[in-house]
Amino acid sequence: MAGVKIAAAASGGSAEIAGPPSSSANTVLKLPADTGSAGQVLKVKSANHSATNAELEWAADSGGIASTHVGVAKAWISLDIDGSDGNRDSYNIASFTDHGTGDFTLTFDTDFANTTYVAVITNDLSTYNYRWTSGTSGSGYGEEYTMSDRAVGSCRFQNLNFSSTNGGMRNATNAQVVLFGDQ
Amino acid sequence: MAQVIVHTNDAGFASITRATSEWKGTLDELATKMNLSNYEIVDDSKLPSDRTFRNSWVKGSGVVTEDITKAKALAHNTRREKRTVEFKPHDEIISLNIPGTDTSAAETSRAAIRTKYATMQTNIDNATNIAGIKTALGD
Repeated sequence: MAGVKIAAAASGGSAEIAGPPSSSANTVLKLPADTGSAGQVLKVKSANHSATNAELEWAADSGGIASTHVGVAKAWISLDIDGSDGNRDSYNIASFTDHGTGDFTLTFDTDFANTTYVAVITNDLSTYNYRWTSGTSGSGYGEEYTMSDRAVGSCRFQNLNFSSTNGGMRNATNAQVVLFGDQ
Repeated sequence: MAQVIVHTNDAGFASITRATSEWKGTLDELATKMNLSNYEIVDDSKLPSDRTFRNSWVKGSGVVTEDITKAKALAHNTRREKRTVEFKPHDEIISLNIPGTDTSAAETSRAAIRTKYATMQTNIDNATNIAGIKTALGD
């Protein structure tokens, strides 16, 4: 098992953690002398990303790896354009625009880096719709969202209604949208 | 009083934009971010409170109103949809001609439905305001 050596800091500067002396290519981890302050996290100094010996520094926690990771949602919203509830909760959504029945645009607070982002969207129904599974005709309906006007700062959604009697749009009630992509 | 951004969209309706609590700028700055050039900021109270004819909303000066011609067109769509639903069970009896079913009774019912919705059509056309259209629809 490899050992770790902590060498004395010179003149109160950085302490060093080194691998076993028999190795010819020890990785040296330098800890900053400053212990930082509450809420800060240790980050690799951006200037030293490609240095032979990477250095860490105490810095503000701006979300770090979690919020920028490609697998993390970059924006989401739960909204009810149809009713007075409006925006129930959201993240990175600057505004929502009601264009008409079943038609709305989301504008992002921080834009995406490109327009290859993806969206996941669904609606709540007030009650379970048995006609979807029973195949019985009547006033039951199916719905499908489409996304258009895709831009780095916004995108538009339309809620299509496949009712037996109404092939048009349906109000966006209890809509939930989650977006993934590069920022 | 909450304020909203109103502009006319590509379909000719009024679009209503509401900022979330995450937006820290002004509504004018938001309109700039949205690349809106012809918009107005109005109080939420200046919007119609009833969305029955949402796609008839049009931007006025400091207010959003319901265009009665657009509202009547929407009402006629609703009328046709309602009529189709009422016709459907009688249509099935007549079209399938199932033994043991009373096709003449179905025809009588269809005639009554036609009369009912013809009256509704006239009432919608004669309505002079949004409330009158809703009354004609039976809403």
